[in-house]
Amino acid sequence: MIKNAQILPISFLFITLIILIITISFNRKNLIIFIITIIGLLISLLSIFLIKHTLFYPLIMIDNYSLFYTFLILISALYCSIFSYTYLNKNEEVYMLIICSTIGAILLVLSIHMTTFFIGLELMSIALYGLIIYLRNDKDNDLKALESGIKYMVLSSMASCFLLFGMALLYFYYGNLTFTNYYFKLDDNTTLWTIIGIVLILISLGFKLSIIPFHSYTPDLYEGTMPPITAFIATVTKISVFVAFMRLLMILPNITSFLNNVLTIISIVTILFGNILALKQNNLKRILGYSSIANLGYLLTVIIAMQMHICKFILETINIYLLTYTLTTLGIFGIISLINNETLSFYKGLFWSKPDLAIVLTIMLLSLAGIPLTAGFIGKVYIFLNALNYQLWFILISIGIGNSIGIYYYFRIISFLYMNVNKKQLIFDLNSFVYYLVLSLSLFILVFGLFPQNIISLIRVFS
Amino acid sequence: MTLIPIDYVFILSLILFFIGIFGLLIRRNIIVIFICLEIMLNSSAYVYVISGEYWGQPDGQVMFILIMTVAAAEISIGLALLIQLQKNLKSFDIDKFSRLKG
Amino acid sequence: MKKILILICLFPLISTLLLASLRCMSKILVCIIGVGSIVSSTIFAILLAFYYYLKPNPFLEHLYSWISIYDVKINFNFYIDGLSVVMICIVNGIGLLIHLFSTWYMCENFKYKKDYLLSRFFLYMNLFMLNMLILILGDNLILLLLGWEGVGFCSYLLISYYYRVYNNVISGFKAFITTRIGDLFFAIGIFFVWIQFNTFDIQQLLTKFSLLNNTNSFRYELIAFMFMLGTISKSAQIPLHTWLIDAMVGPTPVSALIHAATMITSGVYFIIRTHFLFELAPITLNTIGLIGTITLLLAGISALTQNNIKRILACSTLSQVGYMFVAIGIKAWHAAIFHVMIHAFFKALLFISAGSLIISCKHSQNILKIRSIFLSLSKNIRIAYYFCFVIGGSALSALPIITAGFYSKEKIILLSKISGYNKIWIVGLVGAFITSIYTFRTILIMFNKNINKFIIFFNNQKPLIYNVSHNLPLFILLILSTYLGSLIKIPMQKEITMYNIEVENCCNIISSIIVIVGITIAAKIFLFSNVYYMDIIEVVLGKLVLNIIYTIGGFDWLYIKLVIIPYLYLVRINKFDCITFIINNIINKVILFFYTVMTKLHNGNLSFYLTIFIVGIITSLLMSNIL
Repeated sequence: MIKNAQILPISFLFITLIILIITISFNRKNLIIFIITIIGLLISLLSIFLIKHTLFYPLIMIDNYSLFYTFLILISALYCSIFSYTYLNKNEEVYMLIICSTIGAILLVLSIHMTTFFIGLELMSIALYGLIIYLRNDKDNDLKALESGIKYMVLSSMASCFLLFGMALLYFYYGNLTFTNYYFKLDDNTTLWTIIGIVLILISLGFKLSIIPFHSYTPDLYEGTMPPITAFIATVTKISVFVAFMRLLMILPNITSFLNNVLTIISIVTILFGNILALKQNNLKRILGYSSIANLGYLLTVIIAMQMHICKFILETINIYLLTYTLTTLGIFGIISLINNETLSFYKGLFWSKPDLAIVLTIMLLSLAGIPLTAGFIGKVYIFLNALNYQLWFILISIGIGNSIGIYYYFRIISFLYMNVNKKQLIFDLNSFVYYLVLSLSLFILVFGLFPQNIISLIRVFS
Repeated sequence: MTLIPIDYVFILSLILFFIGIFGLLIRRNIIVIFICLEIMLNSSAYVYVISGEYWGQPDGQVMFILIMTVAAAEISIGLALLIQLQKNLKSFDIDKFSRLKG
Repeated sequence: MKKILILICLFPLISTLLLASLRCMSKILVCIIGVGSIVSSTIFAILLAFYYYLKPNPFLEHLYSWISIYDVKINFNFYIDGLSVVMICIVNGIGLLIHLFSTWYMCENFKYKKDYLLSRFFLYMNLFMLNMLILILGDNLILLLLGWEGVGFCSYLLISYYYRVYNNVISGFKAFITTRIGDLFFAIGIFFVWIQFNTFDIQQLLTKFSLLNNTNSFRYELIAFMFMLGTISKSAQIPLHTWLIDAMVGPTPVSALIHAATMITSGVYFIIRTHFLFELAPITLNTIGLIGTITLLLAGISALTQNNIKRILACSTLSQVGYMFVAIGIKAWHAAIFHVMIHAFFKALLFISAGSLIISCKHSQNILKIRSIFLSLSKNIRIAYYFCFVIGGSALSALPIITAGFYSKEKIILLSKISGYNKIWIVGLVGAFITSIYTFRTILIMFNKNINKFIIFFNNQKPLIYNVSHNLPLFILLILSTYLGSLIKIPMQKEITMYNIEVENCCNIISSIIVIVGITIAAKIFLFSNVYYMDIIEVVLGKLVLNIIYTIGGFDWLYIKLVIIPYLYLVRINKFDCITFIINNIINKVILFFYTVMTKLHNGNLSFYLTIFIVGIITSLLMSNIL
């Protein structure tokens, strides 16, 4: 066995990144760069299976739980790079930035120390700025991209300033940068400044998760970027930041009980307004942006339950929900990048011109809405059971209301798909690789919905 | 030689941080906004340095170097963005672009 | 063993998928796929029966654990015991014969009713078989519910198979909605079981029941009552029986398979499967017995007035299922299942021969019309039909000694006497009497040669070709309907009853005499004297009574008056009710208000976003310190 196989995935990614940089400077062939990227991502995916033992360094911790998310992040990155290959013709730097950002995300998932935490977050975000403002020589889209880029950049830098300041406050009072040490130190004598520090850290992570009221950039960002990159934002950043958020709260159990009320209010507001805001939008990506806000709101309820009593069931809930959310989101953005149009009116009568694509999109949307026989239903069941077990009645009610509003706007999209309008034939290449990827995703969602137990028991290993 | 009390230094960094926040809220020019962000970053970096000194650890200074690096990377991307903005919009006013909304 | 169980279900599934995906196939290929799957399934069912015969121990086969979240565990298990083996053999055997027959029937029928897809027919039939097998084998209530709903759905699809006729579609709707009402209660019963016992597995339920003290609790009564409502709608017992008569508009093989032999009896099967539950609920059991007696009487009387051959058979199905419910009411589980089996044989025989007869007689279903066309057929064929109907009819009316029906039906009547239910015994005898009259009325009217007053329709259509797929099922079912059929032993525990042989003989003789008297009366009335007996009855009873009898108690009319019209009225006055008002004016407006306000906040202005961010931070800091 390879010694220290635990850091293989991330080191393979680094090697790929270096090779990419060197290759780009010599040879700017799109296909070659693409293949190198895919191979690098695949190797680092496979190397996850070599890992047998957990690793505990002062800077990073690698256990089954973080490996699961590394896996999920790598899968999403793989999908996103494939989407962007078909979406753009000339995009050598995109792969580089995607890999860079993926490294940051994985580092964030593994981190238990403030330095790795900060570096991971910033590596992810800075590479993301580049991806967001990637110009396509298309005046209208470029302006949108620039605008969303500047918004995201300013707000995100401000959030990282708050993060840094919060961490600085903690360091100032406790003289330690390792999170795990706070577990022993922070128990009873919490001062005002430590509370402020923790809240600032959590807020800046909440910004990345686009939790209301720190969400305002999200729909603009989703609308402005190109679909493959939106998929990347919606999956990789959300997964990694959420896991970091959870790690942080798991490590700080005693002192964060005061956060419960705030978190409850925030999650209720996030679920309700996230769903309400998506009601009458006319841009598919904007709807998905709001829906991602709502979905993170559902996940936040699990965090609240975790504050009360931590058990395996909660970790399982988060695993399953994030898995279903990731796969569904990837599928939808795959279709959007395939069709290359995001206005809702364009999707009118899609079924009559491209029935297979419409059906796949329907499955994805049903899964997001949490209709039975899809993967999303299983995730929703978990969330519901969780709230029920911990008797979070207000949250339960808001989940119910939010879900029913959600069904309205998801079905609005679906009804658009099946509208009978005379329509010119859509022209796009259906034989592309993306099409089969999306198809496989929708199949997986259906299989997960029909036969959940195999996948659940597989995931249970990781929680 | 008497050391300055550490609380004073902390208050200084707090003041710097609030200056940054107010700058962000008040100013509309994107360059000034970047400057304010830099001020905020540096104020927190300052806290790291002094608390590292206070606890007698090198960690604070390590963190300071990391922050500097990140700030540099961020600003370089920010400036690249500014060039594009100037090309496309001919303006540095952040209120000029509000096409994405609703 | 597990493989055999899976294979039994797998073949119908595969053929369903094949038929669903490949729509444009030749008819022969469709027939081969549709029947072949059932053949292979039947082979494995026989293997299973053989295995069980060698090693008669009930066992549980764990197939798949579908989901287990927190404390909700749903396992898909198959349970094999004598009951399920018998049912599997009945369903597969009868299903195979009817599938075989329907290749002939449907091909002949398509000469008359064009542009319907044959593959659709076999698709639904195979799907039905699959669901029925799941229903029988499933040990889990959820899995059972899947099969339960599935057979109802397939029944709906097959009733409205000739969907171009409006009336057929309506009949399909009626069947579906009526059974759905029962299914709803069935599902509620399952939830009650979950609340009470925290399990969905029937075998686990059984062990939990055996641990209970034998107390009569209202809860068990409630659960059993809910299940009873589910079963009476599926098994078409009064008052939810109205759909079955209308269901006869479907193709005749469908009536034979679904509405006579298998699906109708699934309610009986379910009660016997969970009989430990019903044993704790004596009131419900009594209700079941009561419902059974009422149904068997009313349906029998109604059959006397019907003229459509399929409707007569449907009425007789109702009354025979009524007998099964009576058997359940007196806790005679073995007798009930035995009657299910024998009834499946002779009713399938009757339906198949009726279907064949209908095709031969220019697709007319009226017995008076059939008789006028019948004579134009060639002599051999006439004799064959006559033979089939006489055997089937005498099995139905339980002609002593030679028919199979005698051994199953008399058993129920006998057991009701022995268990001390004298009233049920008398009703059962009356029912047997009526059964023999209406059965032989039908036969005698159809095959009566004295038809001076009727015009003979000359048959100018080409003589039909009766091939193996037509003859073989008839032949096998003919044999099974005679005494030979009753020799089949079912591997279940028989009722232990203490009685002396004299009482048994006495009862048997009484019921035999009653049946023979009934047949003689029928012969007296219909063979020699006036055939306008309907008019006489109408004069004697009056039109209203006749109508009530004709529609089996006039429940359709009652439902229209008591349920549908008030419902529609309520709907009409409720059009502008307060809930709609609240939804339209308050909830809608509140949500829209929030929507507009929040979208105003997303004004795309970066400085505004910055302000929101800072305000958000300040508020959450304040809240976390204050709260």
